[in-house]
Amino acid sequence: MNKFITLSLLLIGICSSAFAQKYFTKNGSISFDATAPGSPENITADNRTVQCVIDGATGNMQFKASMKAFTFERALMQEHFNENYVESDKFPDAKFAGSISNMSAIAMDKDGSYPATVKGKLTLHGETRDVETTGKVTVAKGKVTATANFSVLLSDYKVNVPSLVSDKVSKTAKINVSCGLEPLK
Amino acid sequence: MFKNPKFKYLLIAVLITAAIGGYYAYSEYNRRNPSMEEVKAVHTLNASEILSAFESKPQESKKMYTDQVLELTGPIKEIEKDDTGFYTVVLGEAGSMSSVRCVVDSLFTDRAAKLVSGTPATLRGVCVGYTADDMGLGADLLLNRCYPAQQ
Repeated sequence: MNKFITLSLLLIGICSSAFAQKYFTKNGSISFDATAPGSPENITADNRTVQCVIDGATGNMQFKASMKAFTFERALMQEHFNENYVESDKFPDAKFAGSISNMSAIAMDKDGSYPATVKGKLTLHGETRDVETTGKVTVAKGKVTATANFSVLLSDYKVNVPSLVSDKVSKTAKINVSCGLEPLK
Repeated sequence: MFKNPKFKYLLIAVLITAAIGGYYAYSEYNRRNPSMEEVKAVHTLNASEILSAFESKPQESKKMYTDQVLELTGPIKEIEKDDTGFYTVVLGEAGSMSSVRCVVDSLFTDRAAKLVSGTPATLRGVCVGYTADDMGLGADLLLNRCYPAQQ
């Protein structure tokens, strides 16, 4: 009887700890494309130092990206981005805090591709706005990858585009997020 | 053509100025970020030394090191390769939560692939920020476009 109780408690412990597992990365990737329609010039950049934590039990998630870690093909574009558009010295990070609202439908310990609905608050350039998007959580051989694509209106975040380059820079930026996650020990 | 030679010289001066201006604008517009292989570091430090500086004096360190080319030496805690083949070399002491995260320039993927965890290495890159430990993941100093200078 004692053995049975001990075994049961052990199993409950293992299951609950697996269920309450947090997943994280420090080398997540965010890229954006703010190329105006018809413009021959690509306004794109990527950042490979994105931090992300997802709570496997509640679906709560957090992202943080250092603005200066966005790399552009052209140095001048990168300088304008940091100095004039997002003012990286004043607002060094972009942050997202929210949750996966259908977390119960996602089995982080079972291979598969699961659609995810993400809701939360995105803070960029000192402005915070509600964001809702769909993404995907893929589990393959124990490796968890979270991806999402969404667009933001630059004016929502008080990122001003000078009229001189309004034919090159789009009013919206398409954002792609991809994070390969590991269990947080 | 020019009755007054002054106009001729003026036109030549204007054309030369326009050509120089055009060339400068073109080259500035197409300027790429310099390769860290060829750039000299502004500061040369140990990874643990700079992490201590950011922990104890974050504001002063931010002013001193952000946007600067740094050459940092330390033990390799981890070598990460993402799905697209990009390497991140993590420098720092094995028991510590704080690290220097060096995103290796794709030009130097071959050099990064030869690095070995647990051995010392020197990387040169641009300091793009310090993330304090507000997500429970440890604090990190971030370096971009890194060149593995010594392995």
